[in-house]
Amino acid sequence: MDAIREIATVVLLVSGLSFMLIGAWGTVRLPDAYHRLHAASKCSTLGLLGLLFGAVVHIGTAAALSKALLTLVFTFVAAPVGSHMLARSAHAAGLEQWDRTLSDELAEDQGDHPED
Amino acid sequence: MVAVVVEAGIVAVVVGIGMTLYRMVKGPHVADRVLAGDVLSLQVVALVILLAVDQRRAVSLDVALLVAIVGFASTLAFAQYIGATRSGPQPPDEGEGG
Repeated sequence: MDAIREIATVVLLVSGLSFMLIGAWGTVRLPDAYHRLHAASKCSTLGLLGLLFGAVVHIGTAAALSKALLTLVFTFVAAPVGSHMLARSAHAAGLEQWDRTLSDELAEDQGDHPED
Repeated sequence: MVAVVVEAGIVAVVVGIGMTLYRMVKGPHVADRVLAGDVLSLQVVALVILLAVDQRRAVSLDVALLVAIVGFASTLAFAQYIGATRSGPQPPDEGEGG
């Protein structure tokens, strides 16, 4: 039983850590602030999921489970909201897209309805 | 075996923090720096979770929740700041309200 729990902890921790590392690497590698937001929000959220469940499996108390669930629910709500607001305000501030990005649908929409 | 993963995980998170700090120093726009700060706060959360795994106590998970909340609040505040500056290369639109 202990071996199974240890293996599950290791698998969850390694998957979470690799997601966190990929997210951080994406913020360096990708060409554009919008692309970087894509890497930052998604990979970090999934990495936090793996790490928290790894900690819950390893610690194994109800307190750890409840705190991890609270952190997870908060992060899964907060990270998309934060990155969406950041992308929208960067777009409003006139941040240039990557020159190989094909479309800018927000600007097209705002062409129909001039900003308030 | 978990201890080895925690040791390697600390190294991985520190490497990730280095990458986000590089983006924060280099980033051409304020939005790049702000998203680097967002990722940095999540990496700190990962570090705290690794601390909780190492100590085998649930107390440190409170700190993880707190750091996540502070990171989210700072991201929102900086997003509002970026949206308020509107410092594009071209002059702003002809809106009256400004």
